[in-house]
Amino acid sequence: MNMDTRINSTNALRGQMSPRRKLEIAWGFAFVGPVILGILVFMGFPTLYGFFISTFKWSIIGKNPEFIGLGNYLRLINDPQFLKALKNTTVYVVGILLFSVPLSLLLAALFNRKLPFGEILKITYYLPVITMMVAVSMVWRWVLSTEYGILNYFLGLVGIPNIAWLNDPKWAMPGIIIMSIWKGVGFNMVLFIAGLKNIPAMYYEAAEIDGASSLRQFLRITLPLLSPTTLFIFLTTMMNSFQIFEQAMILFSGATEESTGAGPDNAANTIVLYLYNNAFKWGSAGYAAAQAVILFAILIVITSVQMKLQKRWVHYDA
Amino acid sequence: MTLDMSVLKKIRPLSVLIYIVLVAGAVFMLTPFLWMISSSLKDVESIFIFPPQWIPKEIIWDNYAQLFTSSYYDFPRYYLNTSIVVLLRVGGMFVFCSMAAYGFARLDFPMKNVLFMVVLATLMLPIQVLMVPLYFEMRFFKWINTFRALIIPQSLGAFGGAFSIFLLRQYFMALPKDLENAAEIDGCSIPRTFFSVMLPQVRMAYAALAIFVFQGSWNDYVWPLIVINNPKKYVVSLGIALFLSDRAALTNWPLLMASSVLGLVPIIIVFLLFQKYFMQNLVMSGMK
Repeated sequence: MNMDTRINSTNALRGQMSPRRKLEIAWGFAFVGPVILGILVFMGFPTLYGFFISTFKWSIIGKNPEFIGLGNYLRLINDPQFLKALKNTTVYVVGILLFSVPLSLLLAALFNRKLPFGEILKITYYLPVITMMVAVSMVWRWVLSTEYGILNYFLGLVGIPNIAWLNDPKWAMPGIIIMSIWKGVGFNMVLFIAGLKNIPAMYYEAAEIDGASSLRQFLRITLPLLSPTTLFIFLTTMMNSFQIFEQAMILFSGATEESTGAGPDNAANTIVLYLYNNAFKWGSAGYAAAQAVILFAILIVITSVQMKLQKRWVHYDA
Repeated sequence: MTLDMSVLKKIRPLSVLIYIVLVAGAVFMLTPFLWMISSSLKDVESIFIFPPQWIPKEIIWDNYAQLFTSSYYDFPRYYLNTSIVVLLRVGGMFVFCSMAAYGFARLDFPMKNVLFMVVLATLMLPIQVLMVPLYFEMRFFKWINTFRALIIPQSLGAFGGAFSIFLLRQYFMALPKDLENAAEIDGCSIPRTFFSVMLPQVRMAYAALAIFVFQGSWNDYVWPLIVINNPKKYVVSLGIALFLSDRAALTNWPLLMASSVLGLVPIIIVFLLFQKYFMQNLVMSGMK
C-alpha cells in the first residue's frame, strides 16, 4: 500500500489523525458506500439466501416452506432430467471450447496482417457479438428450420440432405453450438488479436532469418507466447458457456403452456433452463435453488483453477 | 512493404487463399442478418418460396406497421421503456460506479482492499445463479413489475456493474497525483476535487463504458424476464419473446423477423458509429 501524501506526517507519528485524514476516511466510505450496499443487498444476501432456500421444499408462491435438509440435493442426483441437463450443458461447453475457441484463434491469426478492407471484415465477424441474443435466436429459429431454413438450403447445395435441427434430439445441441459459434466467435477473436499484437515482432524476424516456416513459427513462437491469453479465453468461455440459457429457451420454445424450451426429448435442456423452469414454470423454488448451488459450485471450481494457473502463467508487465 | 520478389512470390498465393477464406466467413456471418431483413419485408406466402428469394418481389412494410400499431404488440412502448431503463442505468453507472472507482483508486480508508475484493468477487457470480432468491427479494421489496427493479441494482454495481468500477479505477489510478495536490492547495474539498478535477480527466473511459452499459442494458433479457410480467412494463427483448406465447404469431415468420430487426437496429447503429469503443472495451475486459 502506498502512503498517501495527504497524511500529515507529524500527526501520523504522534498516532493522531489530522482533520484532513479523518475527512478522507469519511469520504472514502461515502464514495464506495452506495455500491457496497448495492452489492450486499442484490448479490451477497441472495447468495446466502439461495443456500438457505435450497434446504427447503419451497414453492415459488412462498407459502409454508418445509425444511428438508439435503433433500433437494438427493433428489437432484436421482433426477434423470437434471442429469441430462448437466450432460447437455457439458456437451455444449465442450463443443464451444473445441470449435469456437480454436476458430477464433485461427481468425485472429489470419487477421494479424495488413489486408485490404481488413477492418471492415473484422467488424463483420464482431457484429453478432453485440446483438441481442433473444432477437438473433428468433432469427436462428428460421435459419435452422428444417424445410425452409437457409442453413439446410446451403447444405443442400453441397448435397447434404435436410437436417431437422430443431426437431431431432440428435441435432439439437449441434444446432445450438453452430448458432453460438456464429454469435460468439468474434468476441474471442478480438481478444486473440490483442494478444497477438503483444508478441514482439523481433521473435518472428529472428525465426525468419533462421528459415523457420510459418507453421513452425506459429507452433514455436505464437502458441507459447499467447498462452496467457489462451488460458484466459479458455476459462472465461467455459464459465460463460455453463450459463447457457437464452439460446435453448428461444430456439426450442413452442407456443404452448407446457412448452419448456428443452427441445425434443429434452435434448436441449440446460442447467439454467431447467432451473428456470423448475422455479418459474413448475413452482419448485427450493429444488431450483439447489440446482443453482450446483452451477455455482461448478463456476467456483473453474474460477479457482483460473486463479491458480494465472499465478503461474500470466506475467503482468509494468 | 519491401519489394523483395522472393518474399512476394512466397506470400501471394497464401495471402489470396487467406483472403478468400476470410471473405467467405464474413458472408456466413452476415447471411442471417440479410435473411432476417429480407424475410421481414415479405408476405407470409412468399416466405416459403424455395430456393429462397433474397430480394422480395414485393416489399411489404406492413409487418413493421403491425408491430407499431397492433393492440397485441406495442413496440413504441417497449422502445420507450427500454430507453428509460438504459438511460438511467448509464446515469447510475456515471454517478455511483465512478464514485466507488475513485474511492478505491485514490482515497485511503480502512478495509479498502477487502471491500474491493468483495466488488471483484461479484464478477464470478452470474445472475443465473441468483434467479430464485432475487425473485423472492424483489417480491419482498414489492419491486416486481417496476422499473426500480430494472435500474437500481445495476446502478449500484450489482450484476456485472463491478466491471465498470474495475475499469474506471484503473483510469483513476493512472492519473498523476499532482492533480489532487493542486486541488487541495486551492482548498478544494474531496467531493469537489472528484467532480470538477478528476471526473473530466476520464471522459474517454466514460464514453467507452456508456456504450458498454448501453449494450448490456439494451440486450438484457434474463433479468427483465424474472421481474417483469406486465406487458405495460415490457422492454424490447421481452416484446420479441412475446411471440413464443402466440401460436399464430410464432409461425408468422415475416412478423417475427420484423420484430427481431427492431431489436437489433438500435444497437447495430450505435455499434457502427462507435465501433472502436466496443473493441476497446472488449480488449480491456481481457486484461482484468
